[in-house]
Amino acid sequence: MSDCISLSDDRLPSSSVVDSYHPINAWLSPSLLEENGIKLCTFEDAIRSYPSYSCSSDSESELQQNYSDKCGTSPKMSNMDFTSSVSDGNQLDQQFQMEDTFKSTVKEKEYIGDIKQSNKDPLVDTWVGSKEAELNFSNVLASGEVSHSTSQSSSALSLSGECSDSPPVPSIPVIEIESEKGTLLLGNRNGFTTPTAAQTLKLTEQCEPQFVDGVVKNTNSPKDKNPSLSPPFPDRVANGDIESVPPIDLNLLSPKQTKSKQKSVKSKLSKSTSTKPKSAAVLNPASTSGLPLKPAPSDTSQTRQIAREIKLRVQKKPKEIAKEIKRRVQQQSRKKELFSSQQFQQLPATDQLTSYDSKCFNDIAFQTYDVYNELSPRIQAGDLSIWQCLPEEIWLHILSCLPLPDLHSFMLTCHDFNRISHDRSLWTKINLYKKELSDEELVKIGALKPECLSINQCAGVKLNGLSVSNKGMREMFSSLGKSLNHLSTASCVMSPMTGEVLLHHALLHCPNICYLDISWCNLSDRDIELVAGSLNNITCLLLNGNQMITDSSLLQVLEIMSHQLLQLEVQGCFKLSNSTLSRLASCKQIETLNIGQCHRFSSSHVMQSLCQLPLLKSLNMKSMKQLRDSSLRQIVKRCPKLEQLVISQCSSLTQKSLVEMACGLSDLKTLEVSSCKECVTDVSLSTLLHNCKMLQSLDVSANPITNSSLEVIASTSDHMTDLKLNFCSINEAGIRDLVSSSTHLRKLQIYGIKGVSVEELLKLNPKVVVEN
Amino acid sequence: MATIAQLKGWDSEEVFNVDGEILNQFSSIKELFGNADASNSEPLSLPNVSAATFQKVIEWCKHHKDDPSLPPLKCNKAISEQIKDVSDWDREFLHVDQKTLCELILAAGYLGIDGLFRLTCKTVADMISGTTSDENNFQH
Repeated sequence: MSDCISLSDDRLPSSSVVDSYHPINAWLSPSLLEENGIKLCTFEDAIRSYPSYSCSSDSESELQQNYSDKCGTSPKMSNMDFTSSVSDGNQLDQQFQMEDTFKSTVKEKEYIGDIKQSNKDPLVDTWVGSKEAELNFSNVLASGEVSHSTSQSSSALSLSGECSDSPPVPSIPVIEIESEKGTLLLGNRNGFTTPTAAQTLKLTEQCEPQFVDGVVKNTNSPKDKNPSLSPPFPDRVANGDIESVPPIDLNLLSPKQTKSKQKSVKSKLSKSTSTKPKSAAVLNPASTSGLPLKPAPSDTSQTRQIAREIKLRVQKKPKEIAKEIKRRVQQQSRKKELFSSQQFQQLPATDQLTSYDSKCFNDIAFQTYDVYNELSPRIQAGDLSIWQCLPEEIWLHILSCLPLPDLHSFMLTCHDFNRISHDRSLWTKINLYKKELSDEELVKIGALKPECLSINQCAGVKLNGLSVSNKGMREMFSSLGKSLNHLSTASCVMSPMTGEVLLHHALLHCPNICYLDISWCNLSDRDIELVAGSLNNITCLLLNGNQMITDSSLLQVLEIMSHQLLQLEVQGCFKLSNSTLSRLASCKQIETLNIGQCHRFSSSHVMQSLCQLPLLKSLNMKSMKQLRDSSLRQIVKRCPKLEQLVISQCSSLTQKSLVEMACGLSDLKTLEVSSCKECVTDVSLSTLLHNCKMLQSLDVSANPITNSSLEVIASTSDHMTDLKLNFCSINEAGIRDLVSSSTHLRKLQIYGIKGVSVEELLKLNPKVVVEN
Repeated sequence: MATIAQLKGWDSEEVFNVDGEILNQFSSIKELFGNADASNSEPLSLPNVSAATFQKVIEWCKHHKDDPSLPPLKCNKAISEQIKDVSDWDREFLHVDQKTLCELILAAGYLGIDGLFRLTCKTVADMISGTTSDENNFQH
């Protein structure tokens, strides 16, 4: 049966350790395959050897050209994939109907189209998570819920069909790949380019093999199966019938032809559209009587109302609507497959175009909207939310803006939303905090291919004595590979899984890291130099608390990364001195800077350097006792965009500084000025509060302020949500007034203030969380 | 930039004259006009966009015509990372009811207006976020 096995070997890692972990990789490891006489070839080889391809285009470059015309080179395509892919699908649909022989070609080719696309889709780099993944990852690992859904990346693609023309390949004694209709797709996760997210959904659903006892089976349930994905190859392909079919590519028309085409499109369009105002009344947007929406995120009552509305609508939802939506999804996915096949067509016979083209355009146009039109009577009747008409691609874009907790609650809204929220592209983060890990778990994490991985304060030793080995870490990072963008190993100090070891593995295998948090890992100069040498894309580098590092390594880092760094944190790196600071001035892009507790920096050097960083938004100069008023004044003048400022324990500052800040930093949102006794008084604080109206978070702990300041806070701050008043000279009466009159306050810290009853404060304002 | 396209929504005969600057923002249909002088031909109806929505879209495009072109949107990258701040004008512009907002998203997606599409998506996301699981915690 199987005559052709093709593997895209570019992804196969050279280390056999990785391969042998997963059953399928064990089979497909290069050495093993070669032992068994299987020829390794790239995907291109496979395509070239494939009969239908060889007859559809005479050179590969032409095919590539067509392909890039359709998908690759136009960036808009990937932005607005929803419309564009739909439209292309329609054009194809059109051709689809036109000729019988052609139909078979399309079917035949669409199969390859899918392969080609699936081979390039970056989206499949992500993983299907479950909601526990973020909240309690260890459970997921333990239950193994996710593990089966993540086929390893290195295996690529194998076709075993009835294609007799393929090049002779030695018989394959080892691999028995079974699937329905004699075909099997193993998605290669690396380097996909398909634009549409929904397509990814489809692909991941359908390309996911399950590994059972060494036999690969297609895990698709019959319900999900798209019949057109696994077409039995028509016999006529082998007979060479396809060559007689004139395929069409609209993009390759000459300008003149395009022009005439457009005119006819336009005229036909206007005719047909004017006859189709079927629900004009419903869609008349003049009816703006609906509830006005506030886009501001802080307005929770509005959002609640929306949620309730959606909820109500959904609860009432009749089953037929669900059916209809399902039908629509099927329709869309079918058209997308057609679209994917289009790149394999030859230059069109141009005189045929105009007649098909105009009708296509109509189809494109209405396809997006028809669901909306069909459903609009129900929307008007109130038993269906307008939001359910949005295509899923758009929903995915919307959901990608949601933070995970919100996504979690969104998932619980209804079945449809739940299904959409499970898309892999939305689950790309793994946060582990204070966990005990083992080799097995590390490998599973690697298989999930997250983009963001944080292993904070984790230990490599379990209670039962199992511990993490080098092998486990190596396997994890080598399977994470290029997909990893964010890595955090803060405070991993327990041997054997120290930050240093983790960092070395990451540097070897993950070149694309752009956010690296290696705080509190006891790293040495050598490690930092390694980072500077091997990671080119770093934009955020967090080195807090690495007391051993000195100027020499940091100068090297700044030398290489000065033009790209957006965030640098070196809090508590005591050995750093003014030379680092001077070099820092060349990082013009920097927005977030933390130079707290670096006691060797002099006040004047701090001023000189920071004054050259006009984009600074967040600045932390905690415990910089040497900082003087004059320096801070200059910084405030030159960094007008500052939104977050920490000058706690800067004991040399006086009231002048706070007044300067009041004048210069009108955008200030967060301010920490605890333990600045000379600086924060009732008078200066009042000036500040009257000028910085945007303040959301304020820490004035351990300062000589009295109840009169509380009155000012209550009266001036419209945005204040977070307030720390520990160890101030205030009393219960003042706090009670503050709590009862502050509408936005959510969090209040009042350690060290006697005679305050939390229960009473809660009665006054139940929204405030009080800590004391 | 003299190309003027005549466009109209599907639900009315009102014709909008769109100049080249704005047409350039409609990335999905601008190729349709190319270099042709479309001012003489009959108006092209946009089947997915109602007249009132189109009016809003043009209003947005006029205000944002000088915006720098956006980096291509990666499907799985959070839009929130790509939209830094929503300006006051935009906030006011999107202070509309849900139906209009929904139609704006569809129209922006259909016409290929990147900025508006991201903005509207972000707005809807902001509307969803902040709801607690209790408020929409129900399952069929």
